[in-house]
Amino acid sequence: MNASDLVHAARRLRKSPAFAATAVGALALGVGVSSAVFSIVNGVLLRPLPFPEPDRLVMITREGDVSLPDGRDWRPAAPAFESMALFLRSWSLDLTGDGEPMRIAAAVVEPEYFRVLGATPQLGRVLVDEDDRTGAPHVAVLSHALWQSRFAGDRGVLGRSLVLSDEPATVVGVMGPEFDLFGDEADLWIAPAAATPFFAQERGSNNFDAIGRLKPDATLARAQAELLAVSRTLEAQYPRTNRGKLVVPIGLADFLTGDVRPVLLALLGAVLVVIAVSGANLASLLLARSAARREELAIRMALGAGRGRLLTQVLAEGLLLAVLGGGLGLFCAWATQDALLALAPADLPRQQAIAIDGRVFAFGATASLLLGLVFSAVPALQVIGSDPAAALQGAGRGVRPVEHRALGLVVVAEVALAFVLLAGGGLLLQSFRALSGVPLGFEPRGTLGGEFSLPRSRYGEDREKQTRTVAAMVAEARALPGVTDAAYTIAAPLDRRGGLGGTVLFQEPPPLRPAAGTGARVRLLHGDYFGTMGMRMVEGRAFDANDRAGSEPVAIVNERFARQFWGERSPLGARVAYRDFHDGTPFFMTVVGVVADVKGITLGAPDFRTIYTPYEQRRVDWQAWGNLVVRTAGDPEALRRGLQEAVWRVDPQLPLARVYTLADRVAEHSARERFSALLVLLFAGVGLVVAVQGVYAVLAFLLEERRRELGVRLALGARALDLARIVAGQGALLAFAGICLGIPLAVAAGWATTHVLFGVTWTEPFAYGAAALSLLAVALLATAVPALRAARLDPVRALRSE
Amino acid sequence: MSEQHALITLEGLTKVFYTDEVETHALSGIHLRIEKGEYVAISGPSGCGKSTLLSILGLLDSPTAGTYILNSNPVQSLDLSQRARIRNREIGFIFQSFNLIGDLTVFENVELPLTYRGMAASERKARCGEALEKVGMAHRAKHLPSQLSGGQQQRVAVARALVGKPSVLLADEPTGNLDSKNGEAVMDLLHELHRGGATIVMVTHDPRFARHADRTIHMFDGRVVDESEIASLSA
Repeated sequence: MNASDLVHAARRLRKSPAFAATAVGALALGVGVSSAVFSIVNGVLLRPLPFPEPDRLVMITREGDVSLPDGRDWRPAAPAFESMALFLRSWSLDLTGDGEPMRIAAAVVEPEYFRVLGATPQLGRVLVDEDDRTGAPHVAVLSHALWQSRFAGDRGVLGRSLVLSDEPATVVGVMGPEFDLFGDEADLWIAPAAATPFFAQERGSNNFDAIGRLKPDATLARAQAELLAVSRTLEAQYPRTNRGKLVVPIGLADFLTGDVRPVLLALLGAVLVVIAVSGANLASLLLARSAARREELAIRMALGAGRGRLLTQVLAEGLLLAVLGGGLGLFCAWATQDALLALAPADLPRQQAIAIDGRVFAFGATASLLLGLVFSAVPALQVIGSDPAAALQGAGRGVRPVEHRALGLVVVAEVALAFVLLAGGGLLLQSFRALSGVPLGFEPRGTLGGEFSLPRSRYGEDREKQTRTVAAMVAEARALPGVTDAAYTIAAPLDRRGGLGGTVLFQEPPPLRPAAGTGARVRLLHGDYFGTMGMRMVEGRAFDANDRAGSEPVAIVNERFARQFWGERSPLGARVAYRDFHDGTPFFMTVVGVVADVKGITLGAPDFRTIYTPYEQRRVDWQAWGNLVVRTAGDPEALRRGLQEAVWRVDPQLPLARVYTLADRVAEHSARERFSALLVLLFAGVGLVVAVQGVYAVLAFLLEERRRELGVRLALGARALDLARIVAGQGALLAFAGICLGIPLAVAAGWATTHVLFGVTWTEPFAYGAAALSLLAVALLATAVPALRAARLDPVRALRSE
Repeated sequence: MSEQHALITLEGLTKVFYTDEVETHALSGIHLRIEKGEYVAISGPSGCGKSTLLSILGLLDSPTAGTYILNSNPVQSLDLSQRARIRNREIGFIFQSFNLIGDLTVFENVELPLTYRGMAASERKARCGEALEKVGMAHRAKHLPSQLSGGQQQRVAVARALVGKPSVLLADEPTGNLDSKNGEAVMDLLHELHRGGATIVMVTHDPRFARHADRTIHMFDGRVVDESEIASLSA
């Protein structure tokens, strides 16, 4: 292929602007959408983690996390690891001093954490072993975001003193913007000795995660064997806190992306279908065009052009289309990247790695070139392979039956693939709707919440002061204009942390003993929490002002708790206690009510067995954090500032962190499903457009080719309606055949992706029916113009056409 | 012959084509009568208006002005649907390039006008068989047009034209795409049909074939002229 081939190809395309625009548009659409989505798959699954030798990084997991002392016992017993660090992903601290008090998310990490990851700071230094010694001065490493927002990127921040929950700490370093392993957006890193010294000896406080770097010659299997041995040893030494807790190492990349991998792989499958649809579309356009060019190619052959030469000329056209379509598609993918990411769920891992990088560019370019060259070569070979004399004689007699069939098959394939996308999109949309429609057990509209933590430095072990402060904050919040109710809870619904955990004890054994053990969540409340959240009392009464410190201890259990232990009987009057690892003595409470279940952790899972108790009646002093929640008849967003100010009226140094509306929290929990449905529906839209384009282009082309035949039919007495019916019927037949072919393909795709569906199965008839009807409708729409054109055919001109 | 017996009567028929600002008079005041059972040839040089006249006679086109009476009915200003109906029942076309539909068999091609008429399948079958017998192509009923010679294709086209028992057969250079032997065979077929009572109007520029007709109408520059006039115009 030489420059003149490309020049001639460009000239030919310029002469057929409608064809060129259609082909380039179809390619751009297919390549653009698939590249944009591939960039997500690439960023999340394929790009290596931004650390040296990331394959050696391992998350060390254990059911219910690990305590500092247990985790520190793993280290000497697991020589497969070069290094290992314990860390607490999110620990809230109050940053006070200069500026407004703010609640920040600190990552509590052992200094080894930075060595495991091979991370270096942008400024200053990372934590060192000395920083994690008892009594060492407190130091912190800032995130790039906090450095920019709070300190305006001042390089003189090193050595500056901060007040973190009333404790002074010195800034020793600033990390780069990319350092965010879990996407937690940690504001700073601080050593356990500084932030959580009380966990140092607590084997029952399983709050930490562990990460390790394998030695170069070590395998995951070896690490697993060593960790299994140490978990058995700990189980024997500390049975109360280590019974049945097996330690399992998982590659870091798998750990980070494991739960989104199925969804992303399903999306990747959809990407391939989009590319196939685009290819089929291009093939149909090029088949039609090459059939129309048969006479020209035959003349060229008659004049002495070799078949190779002709193929090169056709390929030059394909190459130009590929470059134009692919380039435009990649540009669109780049231009819409931010918009796409804005729609992505907040918990999509590794979002910072999503970009149009070299691999995405290579993907888009390869897809374009393959589509452009392969699909232009195939029809060209068909024409060039024919006998030139026959081609010359046949010139003007229209499309040969073999080309007719090929065109028909390509359009049928396009429609079938579009059907797969539409049906898949329909299934995901129904899955999203099912998830959005699950009964929540509470009314999210009109509710606003904010998290706080009473600092130990000022509230210490003074339970009465803590209670007074919480009550005062609730009262201040209730007094806000527009607020109809306010309450305190240790954990609001759909909080992934879900409140305190404990083992339930019964004074009298309940009638039932569930196989799942006797664990339950405990949620401390103050004020009319159930009223504020719109939760329904099933039986008994809610807490009232008489349920105070020193009065008869009371509890309300949720329906799941009641059903699992009492079945159909009433639990009212039963005496229950919970015991966690801080507290060995049972503290019995009388069950006075049963409240409806709520979605506790996720929309898809049932509520935990839950015991609600009054905050005033708690027995330990460390339960000094929680949520202030209010209900308003108006817009809860308008209360954000007011809620913070209500807290400041009680404690001017106390910030509210993570102010949220319950409606947003519900939306966040279905964000992944929404995003997947959105992307696949986007694909389906592309498939639909491309399929319609294919049907239209082929019908319009065949109409031109059949002009003379239709003229003959007119001469024989056919009415305009008869001709329109012939053309529309041809389109409908193609669409119908495509749908018939698409049904088994879509069912297979649905079956293969059933694990990403919620509340619907791959057999859902609505998704398939809606996809079939949509496709038929748009295919008929696509036939309308050619059919109308056929109906308006001038018989004299048609009969003269050659 | 009396007025009542005329199958076709044209009075002052004019056809003007407008392209941009150019006005082309394809037909200028044609007066013509064709009796039932007559075999008329229309001849003349290229561009004289033969095919335009045939298109108007076949109701494929409408005149700009003038009157066209077919079977005692004025048809010059019928709507599309009425024209399609008359075309289907009263007119049979034979084209120069046969115009058989490639995807349909010989039988299906011949059947087509009857299908548009809404005729029952059994009757269609009988009529098609008869028409194909008449042109000697019954044995090829299941073949596709591409499997036939040019002469055979034109015979099938004649069968298709006859099958609806039209009032008139319009043939546009029916031998134009055939060698002389096949051309003669088609002309013999038309002659035979005429002897059987068919009215035929044939456009041809070949004087040998025009001689088969009862009467030849000469055209020049959109007008009907007599032979002497032709000679003076050509001089």
